[in-house]
Amino acid sequence: MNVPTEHLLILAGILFSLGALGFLLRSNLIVILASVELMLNAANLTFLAGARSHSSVGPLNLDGPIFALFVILVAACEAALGLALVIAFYRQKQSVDIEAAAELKG
Amino acid sequence: MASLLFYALSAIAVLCALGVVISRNPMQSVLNLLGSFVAVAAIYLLAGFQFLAAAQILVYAGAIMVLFIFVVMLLNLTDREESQSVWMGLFNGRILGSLAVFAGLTVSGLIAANGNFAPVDTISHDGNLDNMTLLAEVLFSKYMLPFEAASLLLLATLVGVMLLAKRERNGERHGAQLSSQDGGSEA
Amino acid sequence: MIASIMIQEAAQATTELQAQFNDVFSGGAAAALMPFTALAVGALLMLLVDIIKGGAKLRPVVVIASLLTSAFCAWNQIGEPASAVLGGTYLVSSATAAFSLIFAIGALFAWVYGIGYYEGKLQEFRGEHDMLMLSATAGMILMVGAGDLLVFFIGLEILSLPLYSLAAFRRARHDSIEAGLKYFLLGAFAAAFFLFGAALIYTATGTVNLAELASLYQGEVAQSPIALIGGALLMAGIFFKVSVFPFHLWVPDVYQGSPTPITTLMATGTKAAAFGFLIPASFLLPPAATGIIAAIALLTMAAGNLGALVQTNVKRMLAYSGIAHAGTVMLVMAVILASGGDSDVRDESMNATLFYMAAYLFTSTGAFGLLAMLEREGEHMLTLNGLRGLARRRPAVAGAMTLFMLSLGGIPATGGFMGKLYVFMLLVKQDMIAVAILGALLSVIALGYYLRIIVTMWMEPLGEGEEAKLAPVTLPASIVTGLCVAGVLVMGLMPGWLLGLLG
Repeated sequence: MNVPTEHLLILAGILFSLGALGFLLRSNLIVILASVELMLNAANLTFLAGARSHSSVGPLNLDGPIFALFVILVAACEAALGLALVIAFYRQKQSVDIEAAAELKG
Repeated sequence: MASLLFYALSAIAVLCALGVVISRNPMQSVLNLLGSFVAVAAIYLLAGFQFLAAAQILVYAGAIMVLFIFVVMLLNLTDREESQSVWMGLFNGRILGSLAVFAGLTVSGLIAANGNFAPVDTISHDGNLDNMTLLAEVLFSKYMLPFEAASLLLLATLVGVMLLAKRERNGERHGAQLSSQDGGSEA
Repeated sequence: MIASIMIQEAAQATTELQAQFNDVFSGGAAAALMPFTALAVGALLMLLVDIIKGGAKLRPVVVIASLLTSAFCAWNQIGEPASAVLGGTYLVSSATAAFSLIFAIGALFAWVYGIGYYEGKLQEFRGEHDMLMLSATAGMILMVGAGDLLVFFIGLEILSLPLYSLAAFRRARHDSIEAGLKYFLLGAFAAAFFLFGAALIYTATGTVNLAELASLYQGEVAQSPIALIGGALLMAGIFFKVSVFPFHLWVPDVYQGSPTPITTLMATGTKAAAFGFLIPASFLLPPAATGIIAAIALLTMAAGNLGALVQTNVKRMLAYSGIAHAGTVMLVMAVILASGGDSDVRDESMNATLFYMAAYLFTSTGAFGLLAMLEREGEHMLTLNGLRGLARRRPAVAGAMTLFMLSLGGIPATGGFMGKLYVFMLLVKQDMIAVAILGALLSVIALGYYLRIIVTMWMEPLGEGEEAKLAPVTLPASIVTGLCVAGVLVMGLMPGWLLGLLG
């Protein structure tokens, strides 16, 4: 694959922005969580783009792939905990809408 | 040829990501997310990251997606309307403002960036940029600490999730008793 | 034949790996990591103790032993020369040791206040609660000791994920679950920013090691737009964690809805851990960002103090006050950037941050702890109305609370005053006099609501039918409150002694 690193970065930037868009615009908690996953995925793509560019001369640069591996792990943890919170929230409110979270104000 | 494939996959990844954001139905959102992940995994494969492509499919598509779909189905959310549609949200000045600022920042910044990256057509390493043997060696020497610490993270997450998702052992009575003890902050 | 070659190759690979291992594990890595390891082991033991029949009695032993071991090991590291272990992924110095000490002590105090707070309720999950608390503290230690972005990130997550579920610990209550959810959404968003920033920095430089980054940033890498955007996004991610303007919006909600001992841990530990990383990593921002950072810091102080003025719930008021204090520490960041990353200024700033956070630890832990004690009488005790005439009902509690309020407000002879003085002196040294004056003015506004609490406790009469006696203060809680009072006074009257310890 002969694609320049810049193009990979632009793809990552678009995915990250779309994820942030979903996070800020949507009020459905499931979609918000999905958007966070999208953002983490974009970060991973950037790590690999960097690793690819830095491995092109000299030895393999493995910091990027390893960081990406840990990001996948953390994404799984965050998804599990986030969904558990959504379930707990749903039990109380019968809703997964962030607008329903309005107990705390002042 | 491979480059063409990359652009096709990028288009799929972006369209699916867009689908996540604008789908009215949470189930459609989640399935679009799956599409985006698979497309990105294929890009990893093209770029020479075979192990990470596999990890991406296994963990994201295999575990995280199942979790999402499980929750969507458990809560039976498919026919629920959102209190505020996406397009109504767009007219909300606060959101639109914050969004414009930083989406513009990321994308334009990246496009304008002139990172002087090394040309990528010289990449050798047999096209395998995350050789598993080398990866393991680094993981178990230099990155020993995060690797071990990650086990504590997984364990703590496990305990935290159990704490949140487990039903009260003595049923709702216990919960009612608690909230009356704690005072009347419940609406 | 082929087999023997393979065996030879395998043997050679093993020797190489062995050499690498020796390389990585030399230099007392185990000793350096002791403060972290003690807490991780404590967290594991907690799970074991929980499944033994009658093991519940051992829980306090495990918590106290692991926190004290951690604190002791950190104490021993103070004054030792700085070194990097485990291939440069973990740094140990006087400053990281002092931060670790702060975390261990803070967690211990928060846990002790929790004894009375959770009495009679939620006992079913106390083991999980304590295990998560130990993990979160271990995460803080990893954050300040991090020698590269990966270790910091894992530490951040070990801190955050347990705290999300602890915020929602009173899960029968709607406000607690809501606090957990909001904290989680905020944290997950921040983590994504941090990661994208780290990824861009890595793309620009090819490394995630802080020492290597620091030397690369001396060169022209620092000018590359990708590195600049990366640095900005990474910092934005951490700013979410320290709740500075404009990322402070949900913080009062989270602090108010969480169980009070957990609020204590969030207010003191999380902030200190994030600042403990921000100061050494400040080179990721260009010196040109000085103005922006100073503006953010002042706006944070303004948002925190003005927000607190209109609150009637004291817990929420203290949450806003915490935002304002984060703004004050942010001024230190501006000082470092203004000096162009001078290493002497950075060391000085690190000491100032440490001192400020230690003073804030004693003050804030004491104040939140007293609130946790009062909350047992009912939720109305958290409002200003509930505090009316407290001096007549519980003079000792009211007296300690008064001292904490004075320290938060920065009245002389308290630790809070010395901390503020130190920060403003650094500003003046860097010729940032306008910033110092604005900061001092904003601190004066803050006195408005601190004094209101004091006046309410001492001057206002008891309400109708409120003569009823309050439950007696438990012994552990009074010991910890006494220690907090002593800490505030010692830091206020003999600041030189503590700073001398750090060298």
